[in-house]
Amino acid sequence: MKKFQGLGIGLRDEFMYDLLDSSILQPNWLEIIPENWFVIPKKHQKLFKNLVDKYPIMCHGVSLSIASETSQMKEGMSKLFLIKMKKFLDEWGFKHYSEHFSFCHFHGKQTYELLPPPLTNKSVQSIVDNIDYVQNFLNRELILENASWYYDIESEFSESEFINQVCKKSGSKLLLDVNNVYVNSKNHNFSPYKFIEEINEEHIAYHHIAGHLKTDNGDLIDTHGSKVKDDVLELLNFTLKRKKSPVLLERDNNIPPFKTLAKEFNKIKTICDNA
Amino acid sequence: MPDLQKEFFKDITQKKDSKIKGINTYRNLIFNAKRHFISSGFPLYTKQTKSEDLDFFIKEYIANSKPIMPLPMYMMKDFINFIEINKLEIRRFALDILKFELAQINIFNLPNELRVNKFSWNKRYKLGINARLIKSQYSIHLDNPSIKKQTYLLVYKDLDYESYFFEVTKFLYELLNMKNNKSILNNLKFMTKKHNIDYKETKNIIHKTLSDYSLKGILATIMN
Repeated sequence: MKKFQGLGIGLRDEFMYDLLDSSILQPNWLEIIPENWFVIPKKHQKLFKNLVDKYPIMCHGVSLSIASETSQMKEGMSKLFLIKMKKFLDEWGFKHYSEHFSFCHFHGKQTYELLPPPLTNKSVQSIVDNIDYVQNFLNRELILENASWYYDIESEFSESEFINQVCKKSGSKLLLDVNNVYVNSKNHNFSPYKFIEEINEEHIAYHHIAGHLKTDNGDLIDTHGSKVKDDVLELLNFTLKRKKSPVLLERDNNIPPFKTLAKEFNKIKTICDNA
Repeated sequence: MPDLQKEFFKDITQKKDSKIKGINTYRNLIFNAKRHFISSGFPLYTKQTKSEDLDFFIKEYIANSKPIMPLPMYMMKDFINFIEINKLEIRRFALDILKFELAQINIFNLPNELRVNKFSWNKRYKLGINARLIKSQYSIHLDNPSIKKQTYLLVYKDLDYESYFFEVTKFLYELLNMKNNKSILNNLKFMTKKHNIDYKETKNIIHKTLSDYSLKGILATIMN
């Protein structure tokens, strides 16, 4: 994580051409969704290569499904997926790969959604086994993100305890998504500050920051479709004061004009620089 | 763990609403993401399809599909396969539009270099990797695609690596679709005889078109 310092941004089609020679938005590093680049259209190949040459790249996937049953990780589409992922990471020389504490498919059926794992001892062991398998297969360390969750399948302990246990037992690092902590805290009525304090800061590799949506019934949904709320920025500031680590701004939906995005990016950069 | 996980997964992918708020949140997230993906990938199809029909297909797809790869980029083709394999009730022209739009997406996504060449009647040709021929009983590229009219379309990627399409004649469709090892001149002779039209006149008329196709990489030379 040496090259990953300061504030980065998640690369999206909508602004990738603006980004290359931009003077108003200058990220320290970029995050890409690797599976979206397994096949690169000819039109974008030169730009992608230029961006890879210019910036440190963090690969942040959404399809791994690390909380699927261990037997499922080693067969069928998961195996095919890992083969493709390894090929992509090796070909481009990408060393860093992050994912989510979640599952998205189950026995061959796919949701393309980040689903919450049960917070149980059995689940901890299963995820630790999966991490071990994936890390050996890809020959890379895995960094895992705390996802937003809207339903509790089963919990023997708290989410922060669950994360600490998996990180400790597997040796994997944590991508702490500050917006997800905030969203979960409001939806499930706990203190986001206490949650951050409960996380062992030694596990933290980097942070995510993003916008969310408040629904008509008052629930918060992690959408990455609006600017980051002030409450979340305050929480980020608190988090960085505990452990200064790289931060990444995610904006996946409802992407504003580049100038507007740059303004928000630079506001967050000031928080990161001053923390 | 698997039992509760299995039950949860079943609940969030089922077609019916749940009484549990969290389950419905996931059902909505999954449905909305898939609907957005389908409607932005297939804008013509979405425009020509009743909202409730599209919703029905997507709910069926969520509940019953088993894709071979967990990647959104494969979902477009998988969605069409699912409709066909399960014989879901879809109007023929709508299915043709889906295939037409998928061809455009696939061609745009191709990673390969365009190979252009100078046209010669003595060379053997096949359709270039950056081109697809589409045949439909409907004018699927026009404003009112539900009207029956035999239509032949050529979808291709230009030198700027964007995908385009245009309508071609039945004669040209058949000529470009011929899969053999003969020169294009031989194939033209065969075609003019089959359609009982003047060979020399046709050759003169079609020469500029085929030269243009060669320079755009629509026609690829067969090397061996």
